[in-house]
Amino acid sequence: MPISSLAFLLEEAAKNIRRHSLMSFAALGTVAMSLAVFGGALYGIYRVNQIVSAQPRQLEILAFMRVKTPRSETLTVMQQIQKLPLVKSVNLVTREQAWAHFVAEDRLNKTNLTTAFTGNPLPDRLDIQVKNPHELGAVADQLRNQTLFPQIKSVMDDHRLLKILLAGVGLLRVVGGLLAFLLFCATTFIIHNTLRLTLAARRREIRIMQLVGATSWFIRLPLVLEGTFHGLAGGVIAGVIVLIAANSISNLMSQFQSKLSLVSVSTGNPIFIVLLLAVVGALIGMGASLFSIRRFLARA
Amino acid sequence: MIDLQHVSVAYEDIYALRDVCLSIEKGEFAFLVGASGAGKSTLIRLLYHGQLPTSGKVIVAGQRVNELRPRDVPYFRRKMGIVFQDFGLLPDKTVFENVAFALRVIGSSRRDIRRQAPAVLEMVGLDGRCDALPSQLSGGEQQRVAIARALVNNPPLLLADEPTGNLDPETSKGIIDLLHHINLRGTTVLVATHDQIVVDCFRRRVIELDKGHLVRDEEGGAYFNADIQPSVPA
Ligand SMILES: Nc1ncnc2c1ncn2[C@@H]1O[C@H](COP(=O)(O)OP(=O)(O)O)[C@@H](O)[C@H]1O
Ligand SMILES: [Mg+2]
Repeated sequence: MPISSLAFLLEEAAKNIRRHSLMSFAALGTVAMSLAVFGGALYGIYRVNQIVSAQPRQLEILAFMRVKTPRSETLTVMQQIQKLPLVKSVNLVTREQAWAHFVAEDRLNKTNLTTAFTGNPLPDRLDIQVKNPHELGAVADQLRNQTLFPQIKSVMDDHRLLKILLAGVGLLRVVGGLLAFLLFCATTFIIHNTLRLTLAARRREIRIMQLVGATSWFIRLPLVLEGTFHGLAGGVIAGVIVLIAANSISNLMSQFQSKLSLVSVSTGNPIFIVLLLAVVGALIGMGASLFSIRRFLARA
Repeated sequence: MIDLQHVSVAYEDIYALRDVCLSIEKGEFAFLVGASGAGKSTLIRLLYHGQLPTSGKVIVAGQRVNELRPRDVPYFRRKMGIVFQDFGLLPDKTVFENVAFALRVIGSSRRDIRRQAPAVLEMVGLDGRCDALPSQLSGGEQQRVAIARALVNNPPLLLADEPTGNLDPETSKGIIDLLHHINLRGTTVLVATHDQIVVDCFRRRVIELDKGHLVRDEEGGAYFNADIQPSVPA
């Protein structure tokens, strides 16, 4: 395509955007709001997943052997557990390792707890990872079965937080998905409507273009650019809104950080969310404009 | 240049054109006349693929119009200029921009635009008014701009549907004069009109339609058939 044609197409698109600046403003706002809710839901899911995976303890079951269990038997139990279908991996933490860790922590924190013990009171421990976080409870119940595992004294599967988080993710998926779909429709409709005004205003121009032999792409491209621009700009604004919202929520959450033993409450990758929403917005804008132009030209 | 073979156009039950056969050679000048509703506009629309015939063949500039693929239509239309009763100028563009617009939207280079637009504006006698807006021009001048725009791409064919419909008789003559001049440079010109004065004044080939039928095709004719003068001429 010659430079002059490219210049023409860009000029026309820019002119339309300027000419309908009020309408563009309204369209932009609505598109941005829609995409912000969509992006917010996405971001929420992303963050909760991040928090879940940042908590290895929450995804593990700790099985404590009876103190007098010989190492060989512990290893047998370990193999038995490994064979369970829901189990991903089992890790043995020997009582010696556990004691060494305990001593080290004690020194570090200057708590002087270890001096009270004459020997090592700790049992061997098996750290069990499950394949699916949802099956944590089921596996723990299996391990508690004393006829199957008489050597296991106690099982720790404190996954209340995990349950809450998983429920949160589920809710976000459903509500977010539903909202995203509704807003996707709204966004498409708004861009379609804005373009309809543009198209009506340009009816005469389009007619002339058709009469003098402009190709359909030459007629469409400025309009598609206009729609894409609205989507893109709306997406960027939405991205910024989501980031600001996420930041304030993160600040709020950092107050509970110790309780949740969160590894980090960073905002993730801010450029990523803005970029994603910009791309989604641009694609919706492009799709909606192609759709409305096709309908318009079919009637023209 | 133009060849119609047994062309009919029907709108639901009424026929706008009925079994029309017509041939116009390259370089000719012809008036297409007839009362309002006779089918003139329909015939012009057939020629630029603004509409397809219900039956029959339409051949323009060597192209069978019925068989054009949609994506070939733009290139087909570049072979002709089209002018209407309403001048169809863009009100927020200057005279020059209006003419240049026709070149820009078919992807012409800036150099071509700088060369061709002023030349065609000079030919229609508007070279002094390049920077005027359409609202600052008289009707006749606006139609000249429209003609300049239709011709800026140097098409071999010019179609005009009631080009003088909105103009007073004096101005109308000026416009038809211009179309003549354009014809003398080699462009085939077909003018649909129900303007008796200009047809009688110029005495060129006259093709008459009546209720969709081609009823007369006469070299050097008048608006009304010389043999059957209506009792009350307009
Ligand atoms: N889009 C249309 N739908 C139905 N009838 C039409 C349409 N266009 C034209 N006609 C009819 O076709 C006939 C010819 O119209 P037209 O070609 O515009 O005549 P002219 O230009 O000679 O006045 C008229 O009877 C008119 O009512
Ligand atoms: Mg007509």
